[in-house]
Amino acid sequence: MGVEEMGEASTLTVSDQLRQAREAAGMTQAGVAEQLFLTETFIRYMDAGEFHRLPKQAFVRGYLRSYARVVGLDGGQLVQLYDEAFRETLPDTPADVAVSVKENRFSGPVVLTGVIGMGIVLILVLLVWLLTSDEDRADVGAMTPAAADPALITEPSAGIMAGALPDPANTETAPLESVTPDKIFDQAPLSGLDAPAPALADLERTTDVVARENQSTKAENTPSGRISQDLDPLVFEAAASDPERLASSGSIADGLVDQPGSPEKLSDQRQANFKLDNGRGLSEQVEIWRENRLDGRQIRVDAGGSDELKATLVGECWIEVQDSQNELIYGDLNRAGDVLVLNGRAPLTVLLGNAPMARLEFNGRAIDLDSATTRDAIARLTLTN
Amino acid sequence: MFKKIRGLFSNDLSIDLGTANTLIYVRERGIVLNEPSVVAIRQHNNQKSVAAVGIDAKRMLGRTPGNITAIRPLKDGVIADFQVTEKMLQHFIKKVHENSFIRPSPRVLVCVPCQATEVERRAIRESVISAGARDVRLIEEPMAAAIGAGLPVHEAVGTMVVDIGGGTTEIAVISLNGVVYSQSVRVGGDRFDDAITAYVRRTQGSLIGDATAERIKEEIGTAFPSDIVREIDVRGRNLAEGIPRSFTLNSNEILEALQEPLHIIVQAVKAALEQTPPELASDIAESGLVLTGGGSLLRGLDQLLANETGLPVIVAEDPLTCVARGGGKALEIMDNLGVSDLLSI
Repeated sequence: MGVEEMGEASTLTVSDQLRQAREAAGMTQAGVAEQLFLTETFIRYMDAGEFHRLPKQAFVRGYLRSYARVVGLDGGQLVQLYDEAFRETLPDTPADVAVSVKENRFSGPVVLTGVIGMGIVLILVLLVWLLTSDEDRADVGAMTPAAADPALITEPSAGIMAGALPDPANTETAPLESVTPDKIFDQAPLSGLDAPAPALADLERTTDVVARENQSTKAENTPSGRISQDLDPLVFEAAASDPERLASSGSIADGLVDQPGSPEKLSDQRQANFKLDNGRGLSEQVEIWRENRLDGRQIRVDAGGSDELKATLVGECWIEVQDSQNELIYGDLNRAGDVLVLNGRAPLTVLLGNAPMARLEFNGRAIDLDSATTRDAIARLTLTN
Repeated sequence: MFKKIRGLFSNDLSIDLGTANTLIYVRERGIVLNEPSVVAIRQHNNQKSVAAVGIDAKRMLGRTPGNITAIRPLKDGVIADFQVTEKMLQHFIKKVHENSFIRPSPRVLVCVPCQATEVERRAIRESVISAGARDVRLIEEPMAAAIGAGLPVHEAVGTMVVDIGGGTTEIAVISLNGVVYSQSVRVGGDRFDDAITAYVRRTQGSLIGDATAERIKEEIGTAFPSDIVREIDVRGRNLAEGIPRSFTLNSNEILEALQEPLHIIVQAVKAALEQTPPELASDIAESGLVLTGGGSLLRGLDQLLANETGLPVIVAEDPLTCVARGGGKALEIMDNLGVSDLLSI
């Protein structure tokens, strides 16, 4: 088809183009239908431009492509032309389901959730801030129990669980000695755990015992140890400032511990035996600068040392450098044109993948790579002064 | 609770977790990520760490020393390596939320093969949750593909979708938002590549890599005899001499190489048609069946299926992204209709 004909063809409608091409190829509607396994009616609709009579959009485009292929036209161009002409009149089916209810997407619930969410975030930030400062002070108090101010012990609970504890004001003003077994017994049911009766006999001891228990490991066999365990949800959780933990346990007053096997927990465990670091597993004392230039990247690596290793690359090459402690200083795939300058302390172990693509200089002298390169183009060498 | 708040700053995602490629569709932004499902793992002092994910990892293939191995964590459309899949998803989800300063916690819809077992579905769900999602929904791949292709899934009309992915081919008959019949065969783009590698080995006595096989398939691969014969120059290692050698392949040879996997797909489609209830079969016979997935980009595959079944066959628009786009639309429909379990499983 000549240039002029092309120009003429583009002004024709989709169905005209198809019909003309079909006639030029000497095919009948029935012939095309037979080749495409479509009914003759479909071909007639397409020739007449009555695309709305055909099944849904996805099918029409497919039919057009097949039809175009049979009569030797460019299917993509034809579909594009069809889209331009009919898109407005024939919307996509699944979309119109979505569109029908789309209008209210940004109304009511979403905006409300957003606003409430922001409010909650603000409150949480405040809470976290409060809690962390409380915890700092509580820590100081626990270190010196004799000088502990009663307010310090009760304050965290007043801070977070104003509604959950019996009466924060009461506990705050009451001297430590006046915390009787009865009062603690009142709190025990709140924690959802029943304090055993014999254990309570020992509660004559002042709450500074509790404070000491707070910081000490759990004394298993003494009655006070048992009490401190029973009080755990109240005292320990109240002092805990970890927001994630607070969030996952829901309400502190419920005294619930983390649900074992919750997804977040699981992923933490896996994190432990599968290290995902900043990408490369590099030693932490290394500083890397990368500078993009027209002819390639300039990469500077400083691992604290006076020996300089310079690598100039003419192709893709993996470079990995380890120091004498087997700490990884650098490891990355470098591109053609890159210049890597690395400062470190000799001896340095260098590993090159695709070694023929690299030129190495160590403290100004060129390194012969050929002798160290294996058959699979990997070079492994140790550079010393 | 924090996940919910973080969720306000995250986008809803639809993930097509494929054997060959992973695609992520974000509402109102479209396809934002299309990367190979490959993870490069570095073994350093007996500790594993992720060296690269996606395109970077694939680029490293064959150019790295021995302590880095590239892993494809999915096989046959399901998770083969749980931990690596999780790392990969974490990376991708983070990448999608690159400009977000809060750790993302999106709602995610994942497409799964319809023949995936309960255990495999659970593995996918857990993996996505561990990667940071706050809510995971699953949808069967052919359903997502059909929605993505713009088919009338909600109407009482039968439609047949053949989704040819990297690891599996999913065939499903859909009507009224439900899958009436589904069949999955573990043949896909990867098997095409393997078939080409085996053919070259047999006829040329040379060994070629996966990447070369894929290139041959994309450039000259065909499923149906054509008047135009394409050629490609390939280099591979001669098995007898042990040195690289160059040779030329043409599209007819590749057609011959692909016969076996293509036959399996054709048989599966025929079997699906046999199992389809007569009313729906007549709908399919009238409008035809739709090909989606990367495998449908193989030249002449629609002609082959049309000739074998005697039905009209069409390739969906942009077949590679159909599933991910469909997943995104499904998420939208579920949201707008206020239901949580429509289409999902």
